[in-house]
Amino acid sequence: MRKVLSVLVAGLIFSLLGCVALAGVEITVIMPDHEADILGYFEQKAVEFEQKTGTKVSIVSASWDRVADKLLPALAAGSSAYDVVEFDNCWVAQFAETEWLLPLENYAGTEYIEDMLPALNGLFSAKGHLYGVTWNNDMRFFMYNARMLKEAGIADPPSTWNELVEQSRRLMAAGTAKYGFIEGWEMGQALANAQTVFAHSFGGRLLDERGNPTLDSSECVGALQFMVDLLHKYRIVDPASLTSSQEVSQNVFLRGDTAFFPQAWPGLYRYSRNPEVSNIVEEVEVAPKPLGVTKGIGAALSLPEALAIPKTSKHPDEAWAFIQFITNKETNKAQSLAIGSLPIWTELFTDPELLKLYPYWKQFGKQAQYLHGLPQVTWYSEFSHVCTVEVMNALTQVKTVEEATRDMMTAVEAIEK
Amino acid sequence: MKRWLTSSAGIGYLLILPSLVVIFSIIIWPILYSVYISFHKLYLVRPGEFPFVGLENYIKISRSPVFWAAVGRTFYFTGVSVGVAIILGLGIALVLNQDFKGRAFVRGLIILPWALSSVVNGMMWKWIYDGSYGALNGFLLQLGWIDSYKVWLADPRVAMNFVVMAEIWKETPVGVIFILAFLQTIPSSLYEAAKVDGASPWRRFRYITLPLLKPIILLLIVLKSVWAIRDSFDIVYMITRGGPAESTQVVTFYAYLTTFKFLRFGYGAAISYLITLIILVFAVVYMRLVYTETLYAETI
Amino acid sequence: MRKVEMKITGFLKHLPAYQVLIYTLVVLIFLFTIVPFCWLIISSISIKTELLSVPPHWIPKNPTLRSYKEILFGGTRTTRAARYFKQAVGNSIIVAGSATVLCLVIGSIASYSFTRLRFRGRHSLLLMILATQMIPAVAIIIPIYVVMMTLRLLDTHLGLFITYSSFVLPLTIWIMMGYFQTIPIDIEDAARIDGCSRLGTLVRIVLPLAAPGLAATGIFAFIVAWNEFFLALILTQAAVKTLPVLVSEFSTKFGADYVMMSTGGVLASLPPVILALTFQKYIIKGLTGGAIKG
Repeated sequence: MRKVLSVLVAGLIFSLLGCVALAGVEITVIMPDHEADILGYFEQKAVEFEQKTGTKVSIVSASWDRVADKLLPALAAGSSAYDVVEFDNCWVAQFAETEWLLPLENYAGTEYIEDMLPALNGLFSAKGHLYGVTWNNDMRFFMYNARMLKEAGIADPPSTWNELVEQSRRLMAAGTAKYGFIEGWEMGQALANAQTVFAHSFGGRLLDERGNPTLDSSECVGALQFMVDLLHKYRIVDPASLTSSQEVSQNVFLRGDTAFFPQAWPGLYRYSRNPEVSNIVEEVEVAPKPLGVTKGIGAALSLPEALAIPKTSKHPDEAWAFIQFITNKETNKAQSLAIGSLPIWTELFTDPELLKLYPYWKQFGKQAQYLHGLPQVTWYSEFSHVCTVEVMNALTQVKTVEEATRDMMTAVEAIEK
Repeated sequence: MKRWLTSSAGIGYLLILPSLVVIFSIIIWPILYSVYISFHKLYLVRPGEFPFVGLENYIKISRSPVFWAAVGRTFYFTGVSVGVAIILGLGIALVLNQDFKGRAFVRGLIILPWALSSVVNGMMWKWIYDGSYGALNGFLLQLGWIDSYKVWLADPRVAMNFVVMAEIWKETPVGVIFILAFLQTIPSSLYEAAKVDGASPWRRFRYITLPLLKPIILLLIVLKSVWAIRDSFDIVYMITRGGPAESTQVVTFYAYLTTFKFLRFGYGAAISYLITLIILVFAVVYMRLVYTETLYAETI
Repeated sequence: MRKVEMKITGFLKHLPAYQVLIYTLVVLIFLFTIVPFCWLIISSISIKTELLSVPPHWIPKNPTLRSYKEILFGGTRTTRAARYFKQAVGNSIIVAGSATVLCLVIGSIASYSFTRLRFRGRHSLLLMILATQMIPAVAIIIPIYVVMMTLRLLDTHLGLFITYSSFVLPLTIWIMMGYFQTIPIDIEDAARIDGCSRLGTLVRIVLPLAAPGLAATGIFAFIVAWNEFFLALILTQAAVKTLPVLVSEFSTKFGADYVMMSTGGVLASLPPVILALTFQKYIIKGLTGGAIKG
């Protein structure tokens, strides 16, 4: 028994010593690790930053939803644990109200900001201050597997939902694809994103300009009904969507099990051409227009994510150095080359090296007209939660679409703003 | 004063003082403080405001169908997982109490599920249940019981049962260990006598073992119910995060959502306090058991 | 009913059949206990394509320890997983270890006091302490969070250590009481006649005699603290993240990479599983605590 005790004590002392050895400036970065970066790009960049500056970087990363659950209470509590934080597009209204973040314009200087996409700077600014610099310029495109379409004798990718249903059925009947597509519809923010973009693709919106719910409009109800039908009537969406994250849906598509990817992040185009992670090298193309209920309507999500510095950070200078290192023109181009993300610098959209890799960027201007962001309200986390609950109730046919819509309206109206 | 300190009572208090300080500062005081917060509005999106709102939070909760549904689910989770784990535990303990080769080995191994953390347990079962590549699907398909893979956790009608199964697997060993330890205290002379009287194994179990086990089973029911309510959060957080929809949202997870996702600390504190009250009911039952049943009396 | 009983009795009379039944049940129990965890281990040494085949390959054709290497020493995709993993292991050892030590020190003397000394309010105090063990963490996490926030103890070893101690302490008191019971009171009396004071007797005579009990209680407390999740999830942010929190992040971080996820799970379970299996006799005593003497 004495042996056991001495082993325990020795272990304890050893670990305490190990702890003291840590020294020097260390900044803590919290950012989601998700579908946009499946190759560990940001981890590698953090190592480069460490080598260059001597500042240690500790990255806290988990899924988007878990990062949100950890970050919001920490910011609200005035914790100084994080020096660089994820700043999501759906938090802009909330963060503008709470003033948890450090204004960045003093650090950045006007000339640094000037050459970035104005829309991004605008989105992450409030009351005349810039609060975040984008690290993930996440705009969605409608991608599809061109080889499968060709094999089935389909000339053009669908441009309306009906065409998508019809083509998916043909592909599934021919055995070319297991399912038309798969979505990341597990309980979480991705499902809330889906609800938003389906509503827009039917010409609707979830909240009006004043933040009042319009979830019971015929467009929103039609969109929800269509989501349910995709699963249960047309059966062209993989039922595993209901327990899948976006990473899983990306995996299934890259395995070659599905033909379409209606809301694809830019990186997917890049990954599909990487034989290490993809069985469908050179098969993915980008459709000219995102899907919608008619040929005139289409909707794609715009979900940029920025990096920001909390007011409570103890190392704001090192934090800014890190942000600048990650977002400067050179790194930004390297990021595009490595993981296929869209640049944040206007100039890079005409960079010949990048355009050769990503010819579909030429449509970027045309795509802009279809883009929609998430609703901007201070109570967004609660709103998106109660919505996903009822959407899920409809998708699993526990409630009819009408019942789910009615309960969703009641729940949203009950939120104390 | 010095005299008092060297008296039995003085030393008695002195020795428990450090423990009391640690326990009370982190548990008793926060319970009281959470009552205080629960009478206020504390919404962290507006951190400066902390108005007194009286019973408003409690009134809102009492009218909230989401809360009551979560309470109902908690009781279902607790009732089924505790019930099945104890029955299963009893069966396993009876088998392991027999004579067979390798008994010590199997008895030792039975502790394995208990030693896993609830996080690893949840992750492991989520992977086993997986709708696209899960082992459960593969196994059932090879047996021919299903003809295609099923997305088990996507069905709100059964998702809770899958969460409960994972909990049962982890919690069964506790019952086995308690019952096994108790079985060994039953003098074998009782069985010998019954055998001489010609009692069948079933009758010996029914009229000797079971009555003797009654107090330990009662104790297990109460203790494990409390633990199940307490631990329901971890397993739900790992496997379903309350979904699909709200079908596995137990009350502990609901309290977590309100507090740390919606940042409504006042309202969350009120929910937490109600959970404490429910637990206290169990605690009182537990204390009564401890007092009335002889099994613990000796140690006090 | 009577008929069924006779049938069962008749069946059991044939001893070989009875033996077959027992061994069948034992095998079932054995499988029930280890199969899920074995699947986790198999997943962790499989290669991705084999794991994702339908139906899965139960026995991997090309077992590999690559994912273990990546987590423990770093790899291409997970340059920093190794660092975080080591850091989390360190945190878990520090927090669980220090809480265990404190609980053993102050818990054992408290439990001695409850077992051997007579003083007023003894019963109610003891029951109150035991009852605190029943309170779910989520019920008091908000005030704890607010307090830690005010004291700037969020995300510190100290904060987590204090909180863990208070949760593990009732448990250690309860288990140790069972051991002090087994020490004959005569030994103490003899020492006191020889002129030892109460405290002297405790330190010089009783505690050394209770050493096996202390070790068992310590192992038990350590496993419980090591596996704790909820408090660590809320009270840590980055620096002192414990292993269960890191593993919970793994499960989404490698969202679709079940090999890495399983490896993280297996590695995190090794300390408690090894401790539990090695010292299972003591753990069982610990679990049943003062409830059963035996």
